Amino acid sequence: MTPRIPFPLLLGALAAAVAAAVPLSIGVGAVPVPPQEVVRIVADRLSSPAPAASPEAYIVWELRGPRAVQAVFTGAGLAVAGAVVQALVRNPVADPHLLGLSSGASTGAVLAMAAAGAAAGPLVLPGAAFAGAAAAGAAVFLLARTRGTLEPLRLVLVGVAVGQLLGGATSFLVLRQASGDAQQQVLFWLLGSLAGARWPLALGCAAAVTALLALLTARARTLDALALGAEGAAALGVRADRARAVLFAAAALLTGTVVAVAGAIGFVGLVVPNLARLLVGAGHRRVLPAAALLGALMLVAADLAARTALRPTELPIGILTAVVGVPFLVAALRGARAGVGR
Amino acid sequence: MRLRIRGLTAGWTRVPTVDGVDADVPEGGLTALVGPNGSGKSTLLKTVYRALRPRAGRRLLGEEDLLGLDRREAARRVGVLGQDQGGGFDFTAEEAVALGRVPHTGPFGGLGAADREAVAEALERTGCAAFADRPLSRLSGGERQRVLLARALAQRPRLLVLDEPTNHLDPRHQFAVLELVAGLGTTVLAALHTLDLAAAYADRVVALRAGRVAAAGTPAEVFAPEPLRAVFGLEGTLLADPVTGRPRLLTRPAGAPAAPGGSGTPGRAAHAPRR
Repeated sequence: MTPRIPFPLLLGALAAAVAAAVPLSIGVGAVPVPPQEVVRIVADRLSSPAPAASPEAYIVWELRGPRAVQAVFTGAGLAVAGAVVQALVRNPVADPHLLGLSSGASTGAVLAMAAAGAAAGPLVLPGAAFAGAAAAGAAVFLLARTRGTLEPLRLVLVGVAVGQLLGGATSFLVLRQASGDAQQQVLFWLLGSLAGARWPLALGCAAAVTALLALLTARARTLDALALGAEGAAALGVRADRARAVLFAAAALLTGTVVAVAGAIGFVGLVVPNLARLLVGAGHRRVLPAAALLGALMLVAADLAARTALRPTELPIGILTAVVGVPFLVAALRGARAGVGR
Repeated sequence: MRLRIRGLTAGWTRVPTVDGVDADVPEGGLTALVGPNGSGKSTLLKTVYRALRPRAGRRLLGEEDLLGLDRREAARRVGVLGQDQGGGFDFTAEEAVALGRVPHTGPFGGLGAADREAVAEALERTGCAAFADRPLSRLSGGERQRVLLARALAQRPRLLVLDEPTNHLDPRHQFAVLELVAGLGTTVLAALHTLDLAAAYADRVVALRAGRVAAAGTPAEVFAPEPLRAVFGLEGTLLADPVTGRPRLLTRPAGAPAAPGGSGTPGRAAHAPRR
């Protein structure tokens, strides 16, 4: 069935919603700033990169700005990584965290904390988390590969096994440290958080996510072909083993990048791709852009809720993605064609 | 375009499933590949559409060796209706058919005017245009099979490979799919389980047994009593359909007792006229 809303219109509406949600979210907090003031501060700052003149400008530009950018790209990255992983394993209930990548990130971060302690610089933990995710991804890939092919079921089984193993290692390291501070930090990686976002990391994450999204969108037809299985793909001239290897690597890098800066935020990678399919159908040329925008929107909303729900205490965002996401999903399921979700 | 298979050996384990097969698929006709379960039909077809690499042998499409073509080139020449086309993703009929253009589209996969025309034509020829917007999950088995055929046609192939195209279809749709395929004018190689349908629609039949060619020729030749017994362990009678004149095959278990009043000579084939 063609989408009820024409695709360009839907994409435009989603992009507009993200563009509107960002200044709104930046404006909300202990020091409220009206959205038009947010836009003015950002425009000033972009035209003349002078240090912030007012407390509001400082809050908007230095504290909440990078955080909002990180929310946008984390959401987009997780949603697209989820869509890609689902196509890879031919199962719409797969999730990027299923492949052991986030467990690897947590283990990497905790290892770095154990080694460097409080002396760790601002880039050490994300760096270690990314290295952990990449190592876990490489291990899963190599263990799941048999005779040059990456079979979906093996990929999931090996991913779950490696993830459990790393989860155990993380728990062990945390117990050994036994300091409340370390446990707090681990909670950050396990549930995810955008607190403490700063420009360098947010921009690095944005650049990496944008590049990977472009690469994956260019391969949308390959994802479609892979949904038919290795033989169906071969009939269309797509070499499944090679395509799966490339797409797995891209999804792993995407997940690793996002988890390294924001922790293992759940729900988005699993549900947003399905939400996108309900709205635009199964073709990945539409699913990927729609999922990216929906993921961004959902994470900006979840972050807003994380900051404001129990003010002044901040909640880990991972607790709220489901709270924010379920209404989206229910609305889409109710409004969608009958026959989906049977 | 005609296909010649020479000395083809292939399989997944050490024991080859297809062992030294020579077969010809003449241009423009329907060649049926028949044989008991496990005789190597699917394996043979998979080597033709390059889902499986043969250990030895050549597959010549026209004068070109398929091995010398890159995958996309090969997929532009050979269209496939395979057995497993599922996956958990609910494409619409049109999206599913548009996948047939994957080997023709550029690196970004955008559909050009020629691609859209090929998709529309394939939907039209297979009678799928009416439900092009419907998701595959809401189509009947017969409709879905036509969509998969439309995808293979959208590839604009010179050779159409069909692996059990009548599987899971009711009799009316079995006939409908084969009528459609036989009327295309494209060279077709189809694995068929139902011998009667092979007799009725094939111009040429290749019978496999244990990975080797056990018989090949016209339906009248391959479905003669001797090859039928050797390949399938069946007795059979080839008749001419009283209405269409096409060959039809009646099969019965080997050694089935003749009823009083029966001819008592199982396996004596009527000489069926060629189409």
